[in-house]
Amino acid sequence: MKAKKTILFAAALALIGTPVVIMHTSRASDHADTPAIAANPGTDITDVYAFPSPENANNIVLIMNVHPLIGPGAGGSVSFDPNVLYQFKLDTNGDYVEDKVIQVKFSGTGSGQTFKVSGPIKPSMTGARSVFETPVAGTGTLNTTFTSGGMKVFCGPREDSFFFDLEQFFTIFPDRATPINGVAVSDPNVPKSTTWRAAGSAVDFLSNGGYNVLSIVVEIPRAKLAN
Amino acid sequence: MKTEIKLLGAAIFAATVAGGCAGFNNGPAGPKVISLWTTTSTPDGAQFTQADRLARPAVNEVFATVAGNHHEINDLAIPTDDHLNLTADIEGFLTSPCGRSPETRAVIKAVLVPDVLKFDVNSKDAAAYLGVETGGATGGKFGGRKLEDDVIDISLGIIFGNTISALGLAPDDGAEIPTLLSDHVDASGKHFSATFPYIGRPN
Repeated sequence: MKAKKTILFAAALALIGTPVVIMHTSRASDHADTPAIAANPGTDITDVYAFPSPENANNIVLIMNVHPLIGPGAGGSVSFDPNVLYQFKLDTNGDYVEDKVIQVKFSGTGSGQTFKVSGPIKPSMTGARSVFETPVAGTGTLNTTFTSGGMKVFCGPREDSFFFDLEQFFTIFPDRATPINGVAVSDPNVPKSTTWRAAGSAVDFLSNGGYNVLSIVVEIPRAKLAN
Repeated sequence: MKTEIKLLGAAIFAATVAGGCAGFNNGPAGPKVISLWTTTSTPDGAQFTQADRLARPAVNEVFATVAGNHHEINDLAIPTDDHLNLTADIEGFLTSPCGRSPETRAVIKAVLVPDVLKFDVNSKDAAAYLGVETGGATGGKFGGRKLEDDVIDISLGIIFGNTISALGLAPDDGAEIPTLLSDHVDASGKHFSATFPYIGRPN
């Protein structure tokens, strides 16, 4: 969950459905805190995972999800942003500077979208600026598992794996909904409710709405990350 | 004096567990902690400039206010900058509304800053969010984050609950807020798979 997700906020607030919220929803686009990201959901990272492969104990799975709130049935019509460089950054020596990167860069749009994968490779630049590193490890196509050098990659729409009672979170901390409803909160860290909803009333907003994301899934031998 | 030593010890323990051993390796099978974060970047001439960054879930989202643009500052920062803005965001939130003690605040900051997802690449133990930082107390020493992890409830336990004192990292500060310890949502609505790519098919 990224609090700046304008689209997500809009839908959540619409579901909350209080008169105050409805009154302000139309002002949303004027008040996004990061208009560039609101206009480019392909840059919006929603969740990151790292776990041992259920299929092969020698492998590790890395996942990044982007592009929140793709509606049910709409997965086939949304593809990755071909202008964006997607990166996993890995620090292996404890200085919190990336020593290896795995990069994915897409070409074209739609279900025939292709992508190039680079890495794991020591990046020629570190920090907030990057270049797409060469040589490219291989080229794949959306929704088709691609294998290169023992590394397996999948890119495509998947069910949003996150679960959270987002509506109640916004009730507790309305400041976090400011990007969409335009309501500035002068005391942003003062909770407006002191409780979550009870087990029978709490709602996983993302499952309830059948929402999807775009996933980049990389399965890689442990040795390629450890050394 | 005793309290200070205890505080220092807790902070050092947390920091060591969290990151100090990252380059330490007992051999091929010894612990090897790797820190992961992800970015998206947009074109800037022949290069790309960071537009978003994410590692641990519900850190920037919970601690950083929209007011004052704190979200965006952290989105555009790099991990070595997190001791500045993100640390201040966490300190402020834990002080108010949470009312946590200085000892508890110090441990939580040591665990969550910088914002990276840590995993022991050599561990055959289970993945569990904050498993590296807590010595496996959240469910497995591999750490990282698996699809099923209830990261919100784990985070709520640290922020509003007594997770830190229960681990012996700081004295119980009595600041627990029992009504905020779980959002009462689980993964039952998801369709995770045991086979690649593991996340459910799109709805």
